[in-house]
Amino acid sequence: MGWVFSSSMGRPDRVQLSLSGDHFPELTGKSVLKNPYKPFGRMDNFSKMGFAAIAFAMDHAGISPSTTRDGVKKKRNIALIAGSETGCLETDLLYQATLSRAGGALPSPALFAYTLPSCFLGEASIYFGLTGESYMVEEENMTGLTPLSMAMDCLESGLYRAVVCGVCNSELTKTDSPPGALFLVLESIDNSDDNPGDPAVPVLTRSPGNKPLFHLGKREIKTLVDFFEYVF
Amino acid sequence: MTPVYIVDAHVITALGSGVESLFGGVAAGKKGFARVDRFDTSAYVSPYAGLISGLSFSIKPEETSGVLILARKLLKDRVPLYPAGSANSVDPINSVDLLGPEDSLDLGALLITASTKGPVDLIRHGQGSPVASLAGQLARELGLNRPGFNINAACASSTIALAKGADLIRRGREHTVLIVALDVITEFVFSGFSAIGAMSASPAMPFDRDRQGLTLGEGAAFLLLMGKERLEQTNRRALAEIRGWGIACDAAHLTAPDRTGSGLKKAVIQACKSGETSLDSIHAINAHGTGTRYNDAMEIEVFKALFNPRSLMANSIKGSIGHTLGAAGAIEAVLCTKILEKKVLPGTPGLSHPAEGAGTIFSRDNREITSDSILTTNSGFGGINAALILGGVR
Repeated sequence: MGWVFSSSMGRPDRVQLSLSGDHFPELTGKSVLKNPYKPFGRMDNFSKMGFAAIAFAMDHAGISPSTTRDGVKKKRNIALIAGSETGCLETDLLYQATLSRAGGALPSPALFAYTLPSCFLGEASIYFGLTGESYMVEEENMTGLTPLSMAMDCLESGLYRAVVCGVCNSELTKTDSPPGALFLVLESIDNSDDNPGDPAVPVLTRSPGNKPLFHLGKREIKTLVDFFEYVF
Repeated sequence: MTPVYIVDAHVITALGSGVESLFGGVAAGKKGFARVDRFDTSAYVSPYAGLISGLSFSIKPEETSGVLILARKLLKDRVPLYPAGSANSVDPINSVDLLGPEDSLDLGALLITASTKGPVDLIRHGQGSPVASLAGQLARELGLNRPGFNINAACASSTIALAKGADLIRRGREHTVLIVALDVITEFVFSGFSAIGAMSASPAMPFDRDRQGLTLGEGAAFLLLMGKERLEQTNRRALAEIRGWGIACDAAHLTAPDRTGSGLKKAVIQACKSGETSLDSIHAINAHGTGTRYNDAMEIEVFKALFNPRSLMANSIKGSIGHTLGAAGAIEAVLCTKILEKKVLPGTPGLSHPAEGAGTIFSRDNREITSDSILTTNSGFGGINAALILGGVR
């Protein structure tokens, strides 16, 4: 698990999760990434938040960047699904401002690429070598359970052993969801009697019927933020 | 394995309203491009785009977004369901007409929209409106009991929306899924494609040796998906079956495809596995074919690597209606239902001199197909690729 909120960022074994604060921490390649990744510096804030939260979650799960020390690029069959309510609205407004200058003659090509909210998923796929399915799920009144449900579907399909899923909202959010990003790395396990698994690793199960969708142990999960708070 | 059927579908493109207009126009080699008059194009590479005739929108802040106007037109513009005089572009849409009474009740249809930028035209007025609001607004107007969601994966958005909708039905999680895909021409998007150097000064020439880039287009499509049981309950006739789907990422470059086409290959292979179809049985492809140098070269590479070029025919329709971004996959899927019905693969408008390796696969001529299935693929920024296999109703 990993997150970036205005009050804190990191992974659960190193930093205390807190959802509210006055301002977002500065996100630099050095403060977030194990290996250098040049494009990080030119990303928009929305992409930096999402990318950084994914990087913290992957680090926590023990998944390293795709390029190893000897320069070999590793590819991994892992899917990446993100939910958002705001999308990259803040970036859209910045791009529109560059467009409005000089009567449309000077739009920023560098910024334009990041007006697609799914672009940070592409960046994370490159950095970690993720070749599975990857897309953004945008919905009103987002709880984070739609991307979580789709991630569980991916695992149940047998196509993937692991899926990264989470949410990312820009600072312009007008909803109850806090601005910021949080991501989980989900891995399917064989929880037979012979293989009880690590008791320290939280086990998420899908509930029968429609509501609630998920249980973490005996607790119902109604939002992805619940998930984090229950784990802590 | 529960079959997933397309039971109703509709498109609006620069070639007009309805799949017959689209199929007939592409087959006749028509180009639906016109000079953009919604904004000043003098600073951009090209003044042309595939525009929907009569679609005009938001010049004042309080007005509705162009994408919502188009969505209402799409869902009301059903000739069999909405007789002349019943359509009114400002009234809420009546989902009972579209989905049938039972689908308007609890546990009814799930709405999945697919749009890259949704109501971004409103941003000119200094107000942002997230794409998520499109799915919510449409679901309310359709009278659905849940908000639905938008899939955003660049130019593969609606292909992925169809794949996920079909997957939910095959898994038994949903019985009816309504896919609504759309993107419109705005200065926001037009300026960006001009700035990144992807836009062609002349109309797009997919798979041509002299291609210079893409021509943007606007368009919309809906597809109503049902499982077999629901199809039988509602006494509907299926137009086609979605047999398989695959999605994969290149993990190579943000704005250019992997030149080896690793992601597209993986998506196609996955689609074949999902549809229990062999690669050898694929003889017809609706390619993404944007007209950009790298995309088209990558697709030729993939098709030659996976299939026997001597028995393969493929096309692209973007030289006719332009690149409709998030809507492209759904529009092309609707076209594929007509291709399967008529057993004719339309030619590739804009193609004069096939690019290296494209000669036997792509043609400007219409060709008969003998197989009862077709592969349709799309790729997008972020290195995302998606593939669907559509088949006739067995």
